[in-house]
Amino acid sequence: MTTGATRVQEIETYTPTPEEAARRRKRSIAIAVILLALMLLVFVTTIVRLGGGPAGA
Amino acid sequence: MSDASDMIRPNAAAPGLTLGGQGAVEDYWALLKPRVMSLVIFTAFCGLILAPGHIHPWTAFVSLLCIAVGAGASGALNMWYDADIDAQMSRTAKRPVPRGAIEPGEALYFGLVLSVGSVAMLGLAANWTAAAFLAFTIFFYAVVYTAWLKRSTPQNIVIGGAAGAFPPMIAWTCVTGTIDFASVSLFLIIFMWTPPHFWALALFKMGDYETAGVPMLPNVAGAGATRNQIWWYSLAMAPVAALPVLFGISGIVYALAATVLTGLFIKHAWTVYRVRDGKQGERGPKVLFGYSIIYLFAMFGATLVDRAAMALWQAFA
Repeated sequence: MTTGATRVQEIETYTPTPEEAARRRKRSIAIAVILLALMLLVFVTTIVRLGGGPAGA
Repeated sequence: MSDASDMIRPNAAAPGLTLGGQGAVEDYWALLKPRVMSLVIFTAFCGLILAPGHIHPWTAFVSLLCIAVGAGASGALNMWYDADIDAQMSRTAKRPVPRGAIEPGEALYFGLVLSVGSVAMLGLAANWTAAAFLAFTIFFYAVVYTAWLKRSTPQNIVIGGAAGAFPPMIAWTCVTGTIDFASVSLFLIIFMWTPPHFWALALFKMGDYETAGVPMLPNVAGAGATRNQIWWYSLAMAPVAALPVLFGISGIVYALAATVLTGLFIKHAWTVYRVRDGKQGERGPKVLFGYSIIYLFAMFGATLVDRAAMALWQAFA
């Protein structure tokens, strides 16, 4: 039996396999791209809504 | 003795101890049911174009994106709830949750976050009537269809099909801010198309549904009764296909295309109804299922071509 503290330590010191590391890198890039796109989306939408054009009708 | 690697790798022996978040980007993408999403985007786009009034191109883009993400969120919630039966069916066994690539809890939270995000963004970008409509659609698909109807009645896809039929109405509401009768004609085309489409699939996937215990019509009422229902629903689809013309949102180009396309649909449904045995009897439902996908894209595509033709006519007349 491992204790909770030991498990946390095992997780923290765990070295991912090359395949896991590659998957993690792709996930990180995808999250970064999605967050940037979301920022852009909210920013442009705000500008459009404040513009009072057809979108605000 | 537990191994730390078991705790963080997918397919761990003790699922309760895994941390999740280990799936590939493609697995999260698959949770959104991208093929279903493509149909949602296309029919919603048609709703945006056909609706009277103007919408800023950016708002139109964001509205489509929100409707697509909302549909994807429904797919993720569906995959979370249905992971047990998905694992038993050949068609769905390779989905991320039953495959072990994504933890069930992850799929649930992924779906919930996308649901809330897409509804909130649609409300802010377009209007709150459309956002409420999108929220209702997600609820209808995830709770009414997936959690309630799918496992309890052979009429599951007849009623549940409404969820897949709402997107063009939501898009219409993004433009007008209201729910109009004319947009119901777009809803009805998809709503009436859904039963023969899914029952054709259920006819050649009967074994799968039997194994998973899903009460699809062929498993409950038999293949013969299902073929009868496919025929009658296909006939009922014909007048519905004419509704966009009657409501004045489409013209002669659509009318001609709809006549030919619906005629072919009825022809394939007739084959399913008449030829029940042998190789041809097995082939009929597969042909109808394949054609039904083309049919829906082509019908909505015809509304766009018709609208373009009308614009050209007015420009040169």
